[in-house]
Amino acid sequence: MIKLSDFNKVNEYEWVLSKEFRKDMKVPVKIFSSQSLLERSFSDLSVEQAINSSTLPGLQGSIVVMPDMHQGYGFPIGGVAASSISDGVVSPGGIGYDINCGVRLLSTQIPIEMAKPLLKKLAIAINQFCPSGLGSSSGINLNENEIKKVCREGSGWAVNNGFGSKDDLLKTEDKGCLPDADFEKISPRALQRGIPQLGTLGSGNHFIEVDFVAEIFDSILANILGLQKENLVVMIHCGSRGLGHQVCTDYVQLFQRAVIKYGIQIPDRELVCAPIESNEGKNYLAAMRAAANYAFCNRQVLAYMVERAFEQVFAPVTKNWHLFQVYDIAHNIGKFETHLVDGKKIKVCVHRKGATRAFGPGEPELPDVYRDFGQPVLVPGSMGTSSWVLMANHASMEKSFGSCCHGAGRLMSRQKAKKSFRGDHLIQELENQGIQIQAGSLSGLAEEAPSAYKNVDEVIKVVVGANIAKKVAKVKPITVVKG
Amino acid sequence: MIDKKPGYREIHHTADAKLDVWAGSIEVLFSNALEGMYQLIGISSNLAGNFNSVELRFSAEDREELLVAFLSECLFYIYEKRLLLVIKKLLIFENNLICEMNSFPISDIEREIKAVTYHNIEIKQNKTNFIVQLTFDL
Repeated sequence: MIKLSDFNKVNEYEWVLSKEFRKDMKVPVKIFSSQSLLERSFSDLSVEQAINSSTLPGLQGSIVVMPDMHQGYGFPIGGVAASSISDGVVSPGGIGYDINCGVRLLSTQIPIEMAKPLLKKLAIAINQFCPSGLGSSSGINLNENEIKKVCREGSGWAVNNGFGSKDDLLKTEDKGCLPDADFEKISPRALQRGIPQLGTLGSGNHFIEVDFVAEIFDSILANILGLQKENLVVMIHCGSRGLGHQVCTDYVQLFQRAVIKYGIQIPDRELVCAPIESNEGKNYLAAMRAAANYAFCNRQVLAYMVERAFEQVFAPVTKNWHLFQVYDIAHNIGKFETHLVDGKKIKVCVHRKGATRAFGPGEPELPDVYRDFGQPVLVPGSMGTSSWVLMANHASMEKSFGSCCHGAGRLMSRQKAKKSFRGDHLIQELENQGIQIQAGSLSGLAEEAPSAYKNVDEVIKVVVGANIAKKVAKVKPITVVKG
Repeated sequence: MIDKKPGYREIHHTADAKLDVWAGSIEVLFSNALEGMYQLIGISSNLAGNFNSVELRFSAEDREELLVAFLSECLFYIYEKRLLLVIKKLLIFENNLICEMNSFPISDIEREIKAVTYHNIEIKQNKTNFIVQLTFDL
């Protein structure tokens, strides 16, 4: 049983569990959290899962855990693990089944007051333009050759086929395309699953949300991001759909053998892994990158579809109905990056499972327009509560492998949420607060009730307090479309 | 012959779904795990309607791997083929599985399960039962 006294308190927002805590740990576990959030985390297995993750070979620094952490399967959600390229491993479970699940933020010049009478119409239009829910298909009608191009080109495929502009690519993590992706390393079944699903939202916690900028904390940075108080913004949260799920399923299965072949001891079979330099490791990384590119492309197509909904609803009343990309970031991904560990710069494979990249100012990977200021970090709250736009600080590079939190973090199980809330009541309550909801399933909606999540403001207080990121703006939802 | 007594229950998991499954034989354990997974998904299907026969065959290194492969295949049928597979005859010998199943069209699905995970999976046997805990990624 883990308790608070097992941790070394570095400061109000940073806690370290030394690697002596359990004899199979290879690195310490560092948790960004307030005391109350940390104590609450002891009610599930998230800390134990972080400890399990710390046993993988070749890890560098610490396992880092974000304040929105909660129990996952294998790795905790909110976990960051960096393994050495030369003698470390890659673990598909440390990236997750929804490869490159992520968030895209779009800005507008539409003031909330102008939009208010049209919100219901907007919710219906978004729902019509953006297929969502189980088994949905977009009608894009890819063939096998085209889906292979999607896996290779990512968002670029969408832009080349008329879904958005080149400017969108500049404001997407890795320009919406990871290099060294190889569709040949993806099973035919995964490709088959991906063909009808490009341009679909899916279900579960995925959403398209229209918000308005409620508060600005740094007007210079907000201006650089194109955010103006009271104007609408759009947030899209989704990933690689069935294609990504299948890639992870296939490789978790294959890696059951790899751990035996390479003599790797793991405390949980979901942590299966393979040396990065092995054939198994290289194949998984190439397949994972292809799935990540599919996900970038998926959000690019969805953003285009959302813009069509905005055009339909707002073009008759204003010429400023367009959407502008602010940024697009992944929060389930594995990337080769260079970080400073024990005073030395080394190349590592950073696994982010429910954590976003958050590179500080000056990093060459950032788009020209943001490089001097840091990377935008997008943190959606729960349905009906605020979401946040942050900018990463230099300290994130030293403290968290350039990573930050990805959301509010679940607090209550779906089972309990379904027993505690009713979807129809929730719709009414949110409508009373001025929030329009379009949902594919009432029981699914109940599972996503705001009270099932932590208070996102508490999570933000931690990452800002730990100096990983700074506040730019707070946005509040007015329309939510869920699968 | 498949015993139809309930042999699973959902247990707490913060974000995903977790089942305790038990049965007097390994075949019934697999069958109960499948029923439990269907319960989590919330599938509507007219089992009195037309059906087709499907045969699944798997070989694995161990029974846990066999169970994950079997359930993952049934998930694939649900989400990609919109078909519910119902066990007609199930045979498990060593680490091999042969399952004759009937497939029925699905009219509605409440929830998506992304994957059957290996998280802490271990099929144990006590005096009366085989037991396993399964975690599903939602």
